[in-house]
Amino acid sequence: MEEIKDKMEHLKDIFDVVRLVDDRIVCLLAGEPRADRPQEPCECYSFWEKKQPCENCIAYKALQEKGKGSKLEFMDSGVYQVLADYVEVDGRPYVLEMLKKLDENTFLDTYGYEKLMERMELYSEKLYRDALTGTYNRRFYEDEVKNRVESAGVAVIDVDDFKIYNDTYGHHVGDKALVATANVIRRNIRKTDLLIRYGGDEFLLILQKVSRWVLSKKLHQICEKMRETMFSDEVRIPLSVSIGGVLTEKDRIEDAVRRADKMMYYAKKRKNTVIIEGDKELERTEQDESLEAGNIKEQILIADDSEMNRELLSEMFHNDLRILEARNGRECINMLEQYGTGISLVLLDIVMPEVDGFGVLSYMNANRWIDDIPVIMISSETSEAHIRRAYDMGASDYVSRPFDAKVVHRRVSNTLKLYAKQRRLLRLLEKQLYEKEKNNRIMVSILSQIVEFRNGESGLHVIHINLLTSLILERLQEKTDRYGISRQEQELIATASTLHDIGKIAIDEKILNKPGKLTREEFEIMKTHTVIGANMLETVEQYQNEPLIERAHEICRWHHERYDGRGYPDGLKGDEIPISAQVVALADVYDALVSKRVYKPAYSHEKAIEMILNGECGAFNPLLLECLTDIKDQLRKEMQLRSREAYPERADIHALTQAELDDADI
Amino acid sequence: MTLEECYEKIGGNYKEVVQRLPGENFVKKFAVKFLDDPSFETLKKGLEEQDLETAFRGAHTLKGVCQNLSFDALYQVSAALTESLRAGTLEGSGPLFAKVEEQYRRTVEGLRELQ
Repeated sequence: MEEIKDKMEHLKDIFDVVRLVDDRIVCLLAGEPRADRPQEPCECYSFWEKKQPCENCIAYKALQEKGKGSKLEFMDSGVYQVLADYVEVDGRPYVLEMLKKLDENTFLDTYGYEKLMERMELYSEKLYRDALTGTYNRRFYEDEVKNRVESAGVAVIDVDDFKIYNDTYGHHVGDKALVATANVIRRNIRKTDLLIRYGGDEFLLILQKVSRWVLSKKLHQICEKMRETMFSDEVRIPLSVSIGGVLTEKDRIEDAVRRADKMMYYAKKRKNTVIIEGDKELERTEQDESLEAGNIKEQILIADDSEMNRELLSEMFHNDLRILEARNGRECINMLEQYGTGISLVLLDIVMPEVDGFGVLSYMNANRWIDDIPVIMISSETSEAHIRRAYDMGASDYVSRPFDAKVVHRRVSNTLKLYAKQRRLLRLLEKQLYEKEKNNRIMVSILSQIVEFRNGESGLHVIHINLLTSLILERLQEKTDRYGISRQEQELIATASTLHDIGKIAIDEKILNKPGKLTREEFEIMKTHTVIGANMLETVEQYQNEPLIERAHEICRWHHERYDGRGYPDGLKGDEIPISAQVVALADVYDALVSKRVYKPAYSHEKAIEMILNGECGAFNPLLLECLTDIKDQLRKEMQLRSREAYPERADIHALTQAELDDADI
Repeated sequence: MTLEECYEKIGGNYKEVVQRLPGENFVKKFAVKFLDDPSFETLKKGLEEQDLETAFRGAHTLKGVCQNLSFDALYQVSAALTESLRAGTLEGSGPLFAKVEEQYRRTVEGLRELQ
């Protein structure tokens, strides 16, 4: 002990504080139960003006490791370096603590100071960053965000079916999905907005100082962009997210997040949906759920200027329904505005002061309330003209006075049931349509994946052809109605376009992936992929008359025909070639030019357009060439975006202009 | 006085109304409420002030309420006045209103006894 005291005296020349701490105290402070604890623990942390033990007790660490440790402590504006050294004195373990205040003099020069600050910043940056997605992490939220009081748009974004990606394709695919999600969100927000990875597949987005309109627009934009994102070569399922949003005014962020999370829960029921607090749709969903669960009574509005009449009806229904009353048309409209679809049905008189029953109906038509809120007219007007006019304006039913109470009761409850059922069916249908559409996309993706895998083409080829075909068709339809292509037809052709090269599955791999130029014989074999593809589709007998098969057949067989009749396999000319095949041919040529192939380098977008317009790739419909010229700027941008979304990690696609980055800002 | 006797007295259709509305008590409750119904006053005031719109609305509501309660006699005269006013003129409404007023008085008297 004498020895160590001697040593400590010497150390005091260098350090501001030197002390020896008993191991029992250290352990006590670190929260480790010890039977042999001393009576009065030394509260070393009180030295630092802290009210509780330090998070990282360096003395404890030194003790555990029987070694040395050092840490920095802060008090007032000062920084202290703490060194802890394990020592044994008289056979007992102790920790020798040495403290030195670091002041400006400690840093040798400005360089050293900056260096340290840089390291510190990097450290906190690392601490608050999610390693996978590069967004802020949950710790940042807990430390820095949740207690803020702000006016902001707050959204919880959850990746749909994330478990499926993880379980079916493995964690690396799940990770890719998360990275892609973070990238899409980042591209659609401002630099000042906060993106936090809140949970495994949950992101938190805080948009400072936005209006409800902007919040809604941004969230829908993110939702939509997600759907267009292919994030992995292995999985051709587009991503989707469910988003719950709230607008908060001078509230704690933590409370806003809780509300947003609830909205997200509603969105999740449908998937690929945005629900913002206060949405009419949401009220409906919530209300239907409660109704189905028998929690609340439906609410009807009785609009009649005679109190007698209102009371009479009210008396008839008050056991089964909640009743709102309006004394005239104006009040009726005000209540509709106030309650919206919270009103399940309106019983409407015709002759009323201020605004009459027909006035209410016109208002409901103008606001499209009439689609969602049924109206039953109750009137002593019995003329055909009145009745017909009411029906024409969307009334569901017309009851003449004197009415039979039981009949009116039944008509009202039938109408209520009908509307509730209709809403349920609509939701079910939406869900099924979404599922079906998703399955379709999966099937087509798998098929094209197989073909491309064999062709050794880039994984993007099919996505590009699909995109190009859609863009060209859209422009074509804007320009002329010569081909009369409906929106539905556009989508059909775009989907069918993904099958254009299925015939290549029958071509010898040596020819398909030959690095050099093909010989004449080889080229003749290569050309047969058109006819083979068409024949393959012909064997799908039971679906011969399906529009998708018809379009795909045209495209497979004739996507190498040329407008001047010099293409193959049939040498068709002009509009003998179906428009679907003409468009895909153009798309195919463009994508082949801008892609790197075993036999050629990738040309730039500008060069590719120039080559096509110069006729270096054969003759095309002049109208389609016009379309291509019209959309070329849009095309360049979309192709870059698509590639980036699919492969965010690739370096070559970061060649984005500032203008595009600005576009991602609000 | 029973509800049936009252209906007899005021020229109403008792049998019909108790079938149409949910039970005797219900009908009685609303029949008595008729005493507080302002539509006759609205009609009268409208005619006095030569306010066609108000007079029409009053007559129309009165007609509707009578219809609900099967006050057939009062319904018939108020329906006639309503149609006359619907034509857009106060002309000729005097005699029709006199009939309504007389029948209204008789109805009110009958209902007071029910109370």
